[in-house]
Amino acid sequence: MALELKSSDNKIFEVEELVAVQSETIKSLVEDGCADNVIPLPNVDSKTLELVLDWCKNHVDMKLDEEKLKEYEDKFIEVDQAVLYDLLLAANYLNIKDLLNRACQKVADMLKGKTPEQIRETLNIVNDFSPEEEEEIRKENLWAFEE
Amino acid sequence: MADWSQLPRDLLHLIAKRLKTRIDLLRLRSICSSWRSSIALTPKQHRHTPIPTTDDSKFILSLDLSVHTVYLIESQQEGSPPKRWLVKVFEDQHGRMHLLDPLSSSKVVGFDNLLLDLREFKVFELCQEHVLHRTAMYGVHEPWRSRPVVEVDKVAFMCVGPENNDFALVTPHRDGGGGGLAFFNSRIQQWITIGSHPATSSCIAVTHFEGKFYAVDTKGRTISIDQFLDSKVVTNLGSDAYMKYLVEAGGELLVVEAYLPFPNAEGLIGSESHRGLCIDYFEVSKLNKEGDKWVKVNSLGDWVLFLGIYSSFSVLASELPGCKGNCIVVTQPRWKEFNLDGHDTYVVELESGRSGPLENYPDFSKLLFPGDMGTSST
Repeated sequence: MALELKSSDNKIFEVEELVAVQSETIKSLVEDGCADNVIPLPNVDSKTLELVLDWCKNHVDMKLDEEKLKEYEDKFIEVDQAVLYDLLLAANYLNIKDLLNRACQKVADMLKGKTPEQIRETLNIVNDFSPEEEEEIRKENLWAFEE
Repeated sequence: MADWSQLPRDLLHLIAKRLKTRIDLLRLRSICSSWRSSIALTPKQHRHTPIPTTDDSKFILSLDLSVHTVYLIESQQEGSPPKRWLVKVFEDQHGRMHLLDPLSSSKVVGFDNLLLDLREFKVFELCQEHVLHRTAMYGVHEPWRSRPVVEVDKVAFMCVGPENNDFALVTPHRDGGGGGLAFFNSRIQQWITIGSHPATSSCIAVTHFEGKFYAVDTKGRTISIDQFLDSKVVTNLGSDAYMKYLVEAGGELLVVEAYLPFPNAEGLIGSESHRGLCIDYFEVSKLNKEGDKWVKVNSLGDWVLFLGIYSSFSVLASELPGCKGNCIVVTQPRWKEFNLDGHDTYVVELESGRSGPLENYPDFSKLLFPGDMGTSST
């Protein structure tokens, strides 16, 4: 059984039902009988959807080979932060638990131990704190050793 | 364009859950406004907990559980290699921070207003040490001793209960407990005596490893105890070692035995007439997979063991710039006219058997905060 998924930029992807229902969101649509026509996914662009579907397909194909699957997952998640962001949001929207977990773990690993400045640099975040907030934050992060 | 500052709150929470330490959460709160408002500051757990004393301790005024945390911090200045330090920190019940020596846990003094803005450092939490502060009023019949005295005891700590909201403690019995252990569960709020050995031995090391407590005594007897007081015996070490330390390294439990050059050499330890490391050699064993036998270990590989007074920890040499693996950093008390006059720290290279005071190993000595950081305020 094949399903048709439409990305936010109007690209159509034809996918096996078994692969697509790795997404709990799509699974519910299928079970509710709403999947006869093209399923629109306005929150996922074609570039990201292609990646997500690759994840889903490999999780069906390699289901029984834990080692091979882990190798695939480790390689898959080595993406730059912009792609990781899109994957995170897509995994959340489509409710694909293992992709969501893996992506969250990747972000956590990227952040562990880094200074706030390094985290902002890595993720392209602007420091938008007011002077009052900066002072509050400084106090929160200060170790003032008593003599 | 990925705008991480707009990351949905629930996704940020999922990521935050995977960061184990409070320091990492504090960092997330320091990134940008939206992240700050999404992540709440969690209260510090078990920072300073009063513990009920045993029934027959008429002299004990209070018993408190305190936490000391060991961090590895790194600062990087432009154009120079990163510098790292091991920092042991104690936050008291009033929120005041104290700097402690990583091995003796004694307070580091002699600096003016040392301020560290943690945002300028990479910070890795290595381990926690728990101690019991016992305030006692001895000498009821001896008026000249009537001031309260604070003693510090080593204790092993383990979170228990479905939400890890409760804890269990194991500490060696003091004074006439006959080598046994005292066990405490925060849910039951009572001390229980376990494993009393003949009075000729006393428990000298306790630790927590993979959901169980482990204790070893002077005779080399080792037992493991879980939170339900199920105990298991581990085959003996000998009883010739002067001191034994329990430490986790690379996911394995190790016991380190320190041997003196000849019997009765204890009297020389740290004495004025005999400065220098009195320990002749160390032997390291690891607990086997079944948890019932100690197996000799020939080399620590890349691990460096830091053997302290109350607890010990391990770090990979590759994490410590310039330091060699297969080494032990150990502290020894120093005596002056029969009074404890501080501690001396030594580095022991297990491969060659060479050892020397910390000052002879600059890569190690500048590791122990404040090391070569100086004493000026930041």
